[in-house]
Amino acid sequence: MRFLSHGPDFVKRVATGPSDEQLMRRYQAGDVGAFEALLRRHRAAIHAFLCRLTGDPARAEDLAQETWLKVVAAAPRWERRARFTTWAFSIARNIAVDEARRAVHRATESLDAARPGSAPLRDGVAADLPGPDRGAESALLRPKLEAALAALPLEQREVFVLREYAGVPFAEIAEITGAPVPTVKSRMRYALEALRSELARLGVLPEDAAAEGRSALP
Amino acid sequence: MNHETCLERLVELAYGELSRRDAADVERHLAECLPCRIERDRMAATVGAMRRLEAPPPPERGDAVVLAAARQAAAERRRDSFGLALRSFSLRIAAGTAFAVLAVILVVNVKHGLRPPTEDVARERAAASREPMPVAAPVGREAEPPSPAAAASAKPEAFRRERAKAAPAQDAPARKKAAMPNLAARQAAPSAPAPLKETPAEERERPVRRPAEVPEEYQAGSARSERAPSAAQVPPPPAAGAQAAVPRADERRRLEMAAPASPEAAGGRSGDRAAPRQDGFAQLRAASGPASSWAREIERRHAAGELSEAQKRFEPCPGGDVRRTAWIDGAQRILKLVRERADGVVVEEWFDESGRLREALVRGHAAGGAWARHVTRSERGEETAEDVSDSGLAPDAPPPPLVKRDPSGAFFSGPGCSR
Repeated sequence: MRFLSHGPDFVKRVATGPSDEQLMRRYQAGDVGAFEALLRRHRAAIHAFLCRLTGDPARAEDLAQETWLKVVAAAPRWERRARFTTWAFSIARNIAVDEARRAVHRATESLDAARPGSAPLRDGVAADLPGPDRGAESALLRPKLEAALAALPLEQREVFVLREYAGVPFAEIAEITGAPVPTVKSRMRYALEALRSELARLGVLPEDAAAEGRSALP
Repeated sequence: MNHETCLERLVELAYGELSRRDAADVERHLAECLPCRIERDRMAATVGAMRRLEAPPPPERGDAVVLAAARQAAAERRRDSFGLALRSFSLRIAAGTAFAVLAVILVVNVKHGLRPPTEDVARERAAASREPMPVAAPVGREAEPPSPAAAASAKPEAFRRERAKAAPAQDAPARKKAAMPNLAARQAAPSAPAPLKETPAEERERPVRRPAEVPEEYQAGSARSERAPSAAQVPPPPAAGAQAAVPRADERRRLEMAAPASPEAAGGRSGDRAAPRQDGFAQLRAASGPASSWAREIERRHAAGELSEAQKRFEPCPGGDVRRTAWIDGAQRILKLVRERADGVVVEEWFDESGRLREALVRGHAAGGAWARHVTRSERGEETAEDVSDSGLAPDAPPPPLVKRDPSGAFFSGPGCSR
């Protein structure tokens, strides 16, 4: 029925192993090994989500650690009804959103503090973006994809990252973001349209190829 | 299905979140609609491109910090839960201990009659207005045994209620006579010499025994028993004229050590204003130490800490007790009763396990000096009395009657003031 495969971060859990919720209950009872299992199981997905959401691997690393520390601190209050991944992604998303707001505030201050006679830093940032003719193909493609993703509004980006890369269903994304499910689906549609336009603008997807469903990439 | 509905559901179809029926509907529309198929292909191309954006692998270095925090949090939760449980347990232990202590105090109070002195005084004053001489019994004959209910009851309140019921039924003159048996005895004895207060001064200065002035049981060597008391029960009677038999020095020391809670000592500790004078009493005690096997055993058990003590105090009144001390065994039986009277007379009485009097030592001070009478009582009720003082003096006033039985009733009765 589906015409898209699972995202790269999606890991199908083996049915024979303990569920996330069982591990969380064991950790609530004092089993640190259960928490370590949870960490091993979801650390990559949380880190990838934060990395794609922020576009900064170093920042994502700090946010991921902060997320897991909050999971540790909030573990006694975790309710057994809630799915662990939904709960953990909610924590990570809130941390990332707060950090993004602070980053915007810091960037605004630094840009406003630039000397009137000098070139604006905003232009410098744009000039630092890798051009299409720089380096190998992979090195050429990655910045474009990152730029296309970064160009999305935050509410569309988080929905796209959660659904596409983390494999979180729309209903759970609605829980994580606090938005209704139809709104989440709409944001996903808008995100896909914006990405297509941006990738076409960056030369990743030719307009005609995209229109025909073919990628410009080999 | 129109285009709008199909475009809205393409995302759900792409990620497999449509039901089987809805997915079939969308697929049917896609098969018939080219623009919708083009939109589906664009979506697939976009997603396919974006999936080439790989996330960097998560660093391992942050895991150690997170795991350390997880261990610490788990340890703190265990400590908190243990501390909470411990606090709860400690609280329960404290409450249980307090309850147990209160229960023990309540049981001891009920069994021993220990109450605050002021409460006792108030109760006994009220009781004294109804019964002038609760402990009194006619000298020379055994006191009237208490009612069976009172005798069977070891509880003081039950005993008080029983006595309160019985008191109004008694004849007032009879009670008065019973309260002053010695006076009646003196009036009935024409050959008895005049009371000591009528004796000339020169005669009073000389220690003279006056057997007729005191009850028979206090007269030295006046054993009413037809059978001579055994040597084990009674010390050797004093020689005529009479100095009390003085035990050997080692015997004195033994007796002194065997009676640590003597009335003199008690009086000295408490500083009671009605306590008898202390001069010469130590020697008197040594000379008149308990001679019977009963008394010696009771003194030994008390010295060994096997007996508990209970005390009652009363406001001083003529002819009444100011303090009573009871030695109580594990079965809540009074084995020794010490009554200290307002006039300075001290009565020590030793009882057997059935509550019958077996030995008594009555001491006091007359005008000429200290006097003491030692009374032994056989199992059949045969009594032997002897003077155990060095002076040979007799009491100026009739000494109090002995409690022949039911020491518990005597202990819990009123002070016995004479009116």
